[in-house]
Amino acid sequence: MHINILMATFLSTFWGMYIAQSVVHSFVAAIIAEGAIFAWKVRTPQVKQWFRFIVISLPLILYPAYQLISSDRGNIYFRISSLLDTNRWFLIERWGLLPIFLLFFAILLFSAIVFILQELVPILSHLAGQTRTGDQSINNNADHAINKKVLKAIDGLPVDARIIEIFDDDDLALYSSTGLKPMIHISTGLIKSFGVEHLQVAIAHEIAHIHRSRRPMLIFAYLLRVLLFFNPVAAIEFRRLAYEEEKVCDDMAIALTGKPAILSEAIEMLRPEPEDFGTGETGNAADRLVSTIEHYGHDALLKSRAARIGRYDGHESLWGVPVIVASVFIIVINYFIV
Amino acid sequence: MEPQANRIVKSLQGLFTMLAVIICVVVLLVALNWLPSLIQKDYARQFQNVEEAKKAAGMATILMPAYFPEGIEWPPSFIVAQKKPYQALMTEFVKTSSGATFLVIVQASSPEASKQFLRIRLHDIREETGYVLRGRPATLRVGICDGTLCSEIQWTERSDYYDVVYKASPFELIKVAESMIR
Repeated sequence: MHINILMATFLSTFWGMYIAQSVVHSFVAAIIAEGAIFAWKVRTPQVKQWFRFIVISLPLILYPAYQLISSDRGNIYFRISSLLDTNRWFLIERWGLLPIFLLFFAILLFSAIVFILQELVPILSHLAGQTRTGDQSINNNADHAINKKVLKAIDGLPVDARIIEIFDDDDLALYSSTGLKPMIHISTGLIKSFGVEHLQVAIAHEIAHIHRSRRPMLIFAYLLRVLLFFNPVAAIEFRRLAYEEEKVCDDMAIALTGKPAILSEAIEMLRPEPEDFGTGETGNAADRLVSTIEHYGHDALLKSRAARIGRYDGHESLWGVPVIVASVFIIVINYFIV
Repeated sequence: MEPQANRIVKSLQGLFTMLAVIICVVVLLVALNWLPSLIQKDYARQFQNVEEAKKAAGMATILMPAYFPEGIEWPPSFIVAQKKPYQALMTEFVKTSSGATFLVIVQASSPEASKQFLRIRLHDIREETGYVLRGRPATLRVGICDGTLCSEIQWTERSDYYDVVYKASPFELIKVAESMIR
């Protein structure tokens, strides 16, 4: 059978239509969500997270819901009168008579591979690592001065000193692990480099992460994103949602400490040095390129976070009406996209 | 009261801006739907007459019934044809009294067309049997479409697939199908 007819056959099946339409619906949902953020001048990261969440979640269920409403949605009558018939694009034959759908399919395949290599494998190996070391006691050899500095920093913060683990590392490292036994891990390098106030806002940020993990929108969004592993729009929106989480925790840290300028400085201190970009890798040129891109990306995120805190005005954006209106438009418009 | 009033004003301002955004999105989608027709004109389109549709589909021969049961109108009320990804031509005929589609004929170079082009579908197949239609092996089905008795016949001729669905008894349908083969 000719490849075009094979493609057309696949695109008329449930899964063919689901894959094609869920990606296009995500794309349209992302545009509408950005439109709503612009229209209502949304600046609050929690509200932005709701928009990212609906962009990830709605396209997952829209196609089956539409098919329940109208099972004839895939036939030619509906397609002819639709707002956008994706088959008109997908079945265009270019470049040696191959339909554009093959290019689209290649993008989805690439997105699925990136998901497996960059998200699934690291998470699984991290979980495996946690299982192996979960019962080991923490060997805390931090000296008295370091302990004293940390205790001084957490004074007044809603945190139990026992959940703080200090590990011996000259790098500036600070992260939290959530779950049943939440922990905050701080490197000795960071404690030595940071002043007490900087250390306090940094720990407050991690406390916010632990506090937020009790209402795990991010985990739920990730599970939905796993189901749409082939969808590049869902991948981008999930990353943006995770990035907004950092901003939410920044805002919570400011609310806990009342020190926005100090937090901004602390974030600036965590930015990688330009000479670190693309170095330190023992691998080949490709590894160094990936390392450079990652460093630039990380640096850009930290830079924008620090800049945002500089502009922090405690302004609360509207969320109910914008989120509902955007959702309704996403649902209605996508119905006419097949 | 002041902050509450401010919130309402902000909501309304945002709503108007959002409506403008939505209009832009719809215009963009309409343009995206139209653009492929500039690149490739062979995708399914509606036509006003059978000759135009036949030409667009690039079909050398199309089979049309010579016999129409009483009450079924000529010309076809709805015609769709495409050249790619496979050749297909569909004609629909309405009943004069009700204006509802009663007869659908699909001729295509792929059996896939039946899934895409049939507005009337047999939901509850009560009988399926082989039938010889003027010497050609065919499949005849009887069932229910939209709550009424419905019949469907499918056969292959040269390299084309034919599918005729009629909201009537199989005897009436066979008369229509036989009149297509001369």
